[in-house]
Amino acid sequence: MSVPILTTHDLAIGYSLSQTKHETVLAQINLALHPGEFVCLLGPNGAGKSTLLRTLSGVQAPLGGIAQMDNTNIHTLSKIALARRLSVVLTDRLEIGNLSAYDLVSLGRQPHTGLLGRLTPIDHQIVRWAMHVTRCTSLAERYVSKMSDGQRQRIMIARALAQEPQVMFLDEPTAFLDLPTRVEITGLLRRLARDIGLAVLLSTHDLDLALRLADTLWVVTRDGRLVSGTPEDIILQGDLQASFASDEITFDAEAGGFRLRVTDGMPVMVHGSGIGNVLARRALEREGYQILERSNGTLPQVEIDCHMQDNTTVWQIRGTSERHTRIGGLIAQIRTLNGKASA
Amino acid sequence: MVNYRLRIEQDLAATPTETVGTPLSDQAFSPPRARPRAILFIVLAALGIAVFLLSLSWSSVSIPIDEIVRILMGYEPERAAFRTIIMDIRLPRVLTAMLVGAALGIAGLQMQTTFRNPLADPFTLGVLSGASFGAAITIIFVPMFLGSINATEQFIAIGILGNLSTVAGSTLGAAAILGLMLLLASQVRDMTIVLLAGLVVASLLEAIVTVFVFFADRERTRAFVEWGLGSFYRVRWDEMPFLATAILVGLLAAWLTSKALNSLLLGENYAQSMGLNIRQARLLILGSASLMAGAVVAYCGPIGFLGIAVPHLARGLFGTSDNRVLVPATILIGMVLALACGILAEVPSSAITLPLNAATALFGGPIALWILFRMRKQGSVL
Repeated sequence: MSVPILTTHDLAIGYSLSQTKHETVLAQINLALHPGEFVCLLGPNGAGKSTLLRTLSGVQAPLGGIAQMDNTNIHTLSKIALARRLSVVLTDRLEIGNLSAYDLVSLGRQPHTGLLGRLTPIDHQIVRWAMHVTRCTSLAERYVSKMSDGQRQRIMIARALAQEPQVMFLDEPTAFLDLPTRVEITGLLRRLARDIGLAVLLSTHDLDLALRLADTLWVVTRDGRLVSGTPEDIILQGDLQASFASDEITFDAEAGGFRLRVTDGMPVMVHGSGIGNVLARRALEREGYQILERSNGTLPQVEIDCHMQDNTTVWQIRGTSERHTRIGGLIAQIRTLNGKASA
Repeated sequence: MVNYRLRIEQDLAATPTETVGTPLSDQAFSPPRARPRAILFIVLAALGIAVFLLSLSWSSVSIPIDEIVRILMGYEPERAAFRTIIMDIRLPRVLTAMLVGAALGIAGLQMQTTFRNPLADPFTLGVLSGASFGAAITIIFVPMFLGSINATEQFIAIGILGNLSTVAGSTLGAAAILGLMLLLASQVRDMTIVLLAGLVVASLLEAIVTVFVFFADRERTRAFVEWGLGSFYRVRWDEMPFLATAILVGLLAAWLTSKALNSLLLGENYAQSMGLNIRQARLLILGSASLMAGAVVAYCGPIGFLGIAVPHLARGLFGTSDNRVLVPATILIGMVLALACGILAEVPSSAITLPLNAATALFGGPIALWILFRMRKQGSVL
């Protein structure tokens, strides 16, 4: 792989309470971030994701070790020199009512402009380009305060890009966004990494998207380690399970997602194939039933057959005559059966 | 390493440049709304000149505008008395009003941006009271130290030293309260609490000043009360250089820090990520705000509402939060509004003079209310 743009060596992060007292959040961090790499930082709330981002972006001093960019210590670089290499998108609320998107993106030129912040034609060109590649050119003249959250986030990414960074950090850029916009924004960031060669690091709670799109995951585990690797390796090592699994949910490595943990529901088996089978399983799982596979030794109390009839899926519980074309009806019947069984 | 220039050149080559309106071509959007802004500035400047002439003309004695223009251009007027009235009484007053309007407007702009609070201004955050407190202390205690000198010498000493020390005292008072408010704002995120604390501190300081004044002699008590009402009248030509220097230095600093003010628009975390040295920027911005508020209070008394109203008028009129536009706009609008308040306080064609603070409140109060309503409606007005 290429030469990393950012590396850490035995970095320890946390807070200095006094001269002698430190509260270490994470220690022995050895990471590398490469040009063009799209990295998602995962971990439960309060595990130290934000502290790591703050330390790597030079806002907070490390408790030990070193973080380097281009072989220079991030914490000894001047603020301007750092701002020309690294830009951020934060969760801070914007409280400006009269700034057009174009003017906001122009603010990203600040580390490159002179004393009075006057923009040269080249600066304007970079601003236009940043809005072009983040697909927000049409918003240029609109006020940022009158935009949707997704549009504003695009503008903030364009602003960060106008800084001409080698590395971009984003702190939960998809929080507060609806699902399609989350996918869009994450996709945009991945495209920026791939297309431009920018190193992108973002913290997120969107596990599903991170597993699908990230080149590399950095996972802060429950026991205070920071592991990195491809999503697949992280799953294989069992680190995701360790950091997120609880009494309530369990990680399904094959599906690449979490599901509710069910142990005591009535055992049910679904026969048949295709979408009818998948949907019935999902609905039954949500209802709290235990789905049995063929190989399992437990005897199912209810067995469901599903098949296609005249282009519609039909579900039928074995031993009954009712044929369902809707999952709702199927579930209702099982509920009454289950009620009789337990009564 | 990403080479942005190379990349942009490639992207430019990939998009057909002859098509107007393609995102990357220069015509698509070069600096937006450049022309309307120039027109607005010209209109404001014209308005400024008009109000300037009206302020010289409308007062207890009406003097025709053409006479005023003749006097200002150095010709002899029809009546010699007009010349004295204009040059020695009205011109210093009008210049003072312009300086004060610009100073309070800019101090308000600086504070609103630094505190990220649309209602912050030298008045609401107690800075004017801090300045009054500093001024009161110097006015009362400096003569005590000079007590050993004989009466005439003391009078001369206070004439020059008194004013300078009053400016210094009120600037220090303003800076102390600004520092306190900034400390509070960094601890408490809720801007309502910061504003309330500002009002409480202001009342507290005013109470202490009142106690001082209560024990002062009758002459000084009267002077204090008059001073508290605010006035553009007290500055004479020999004091003008001090007021003008303090305020022009402050305005220059504001102009030079407009880039820093812009990065603070996004909040301190973003500002820092764009390479701003927060500590240094704050010191410069709030230091110049203190200097201007201090000078205004020392010479004209605590004048309310201009600081809060003027920056919002500038934002509304120019439709931007860009401080590189707002600084000159605020200076111009501040001058116009202060002159208008001065005319209102004069009550044209009558011998009545209202307290200046009544006039600024009549102008500024409704604007402050309008800001509150807009905040409720759209969340943010900065």
